[in-house]
Amino acid sequence: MRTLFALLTALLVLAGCSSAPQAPPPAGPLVLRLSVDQASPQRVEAVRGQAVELTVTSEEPVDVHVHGVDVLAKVESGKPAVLEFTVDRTGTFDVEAHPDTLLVQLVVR
Amino acid sequence: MTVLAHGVGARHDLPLPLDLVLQGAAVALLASFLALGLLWTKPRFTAAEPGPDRDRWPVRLLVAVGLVLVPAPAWPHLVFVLLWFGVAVLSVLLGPVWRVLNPLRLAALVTLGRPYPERLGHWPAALGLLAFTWVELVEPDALPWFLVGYAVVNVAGGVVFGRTWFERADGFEVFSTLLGRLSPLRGNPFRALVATPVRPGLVAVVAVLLGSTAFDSVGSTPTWERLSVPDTAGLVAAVALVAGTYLPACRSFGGQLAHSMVPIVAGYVVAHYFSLLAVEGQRAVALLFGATGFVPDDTLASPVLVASVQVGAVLAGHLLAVVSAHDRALRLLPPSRHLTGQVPLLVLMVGYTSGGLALLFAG
Repeated sequence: MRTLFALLTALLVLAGCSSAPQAPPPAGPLVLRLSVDQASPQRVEAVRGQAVELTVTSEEPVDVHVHGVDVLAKVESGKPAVLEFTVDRTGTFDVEAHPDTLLVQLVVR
Repeated sequence: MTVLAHGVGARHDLPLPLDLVLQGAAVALLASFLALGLLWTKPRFTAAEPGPDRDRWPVRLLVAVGLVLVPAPAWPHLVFVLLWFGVAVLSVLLGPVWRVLNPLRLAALVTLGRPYPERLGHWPAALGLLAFTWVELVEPDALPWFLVGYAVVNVAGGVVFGRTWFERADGFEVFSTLLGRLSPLRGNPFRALVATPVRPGLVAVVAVLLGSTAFDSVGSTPTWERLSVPDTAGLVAAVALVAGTYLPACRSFGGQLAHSMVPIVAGYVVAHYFSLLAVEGQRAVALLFGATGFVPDDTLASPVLVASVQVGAVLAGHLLAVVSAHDRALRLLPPSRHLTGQVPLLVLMVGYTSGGLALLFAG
């Protein structure tokens, strides 16, 4: 039993040593151009409070939505949609063209 | 309708920092092999099945009446957050709570009392859990259909086979009872774990629980999206991968060591759903009271707290699993193979734990 406690303690100490580094203050806006037709989703890092500007193009009319941030825009063919917003909480947020085409994942730290 | 994280909720957790993942994996590896050398050399934990609960049918009646009053928009939160994860947490803390709460168990009051076929074992439960995790991770819109199907199958099973049906074939109850063995309030968790009856389908239940949480990580990454493989195939492949690695590593024991995977399941589940309960749990309660515009407080989902809970839960689960498997292996193996015989399982557990941590990092 004592061994078990020693192991658990070692584990907690290790976990405690590795808190996440402090995020730097927001820089300029994060600007991304995304295409629904050639979606190649990636993770893109952003900082909490940073302005985000997404320009989305599509051949077909489609709704674009940022999960967890209630921003919705319609893309018409030949008329890109521009979504401007700031994410004021941390987490990973999907930017999707409906019904389920993932365009980019915003990793907000 | 878009596919949401865990059926409800719009936000995923941040990926774990890589250094934390590597440290966690190193600790798991080190702890496992230290345990092998340092822990006791004679089995210590005799099986002790936690005492049977009194049948509390008025509680179930109360839950059944309560469910009628649940507003329609609250159902996804009720099921995906409070039932799936809330019941899991309560089970780890207090014991098998679903057995007490499940209103469908009322069906066993009017049973025909046929004997439940031994060969079926936990297979219906494994299938039910697979169906539920498919709804949760692939097709949340199918929830009403799932609930109707679940109710019909379990009422029918309960009427035909009585209580035994729920103990062995109801996925939620099997899940809750397995996790309930970890409850410190009901005696030594290790003794309760060893007492897990080895029935056909037990390994399948564990594989579904582990595989589905693994796919939960994989399926939400952009890399997975780029592959354009159907989510259903991914879920089934993840479950098959867990079963396909467990069975060869434990081939001489079969299901005899499956109980030692339960702490790993619990660790995974807590790591994956902690922030969901912390944030969407608030919304679930608000929805139950009919408040639709409620904005949950994010304090408990802060990155440092979530990452600590995730790594802590996965490693604690790993440690409990290693101790529990070690003790059981001593009983099952001849003395000459006490050390070497444990190595395949230990390697497998380190694999699951570091794999699980890596998936929390993966993009």
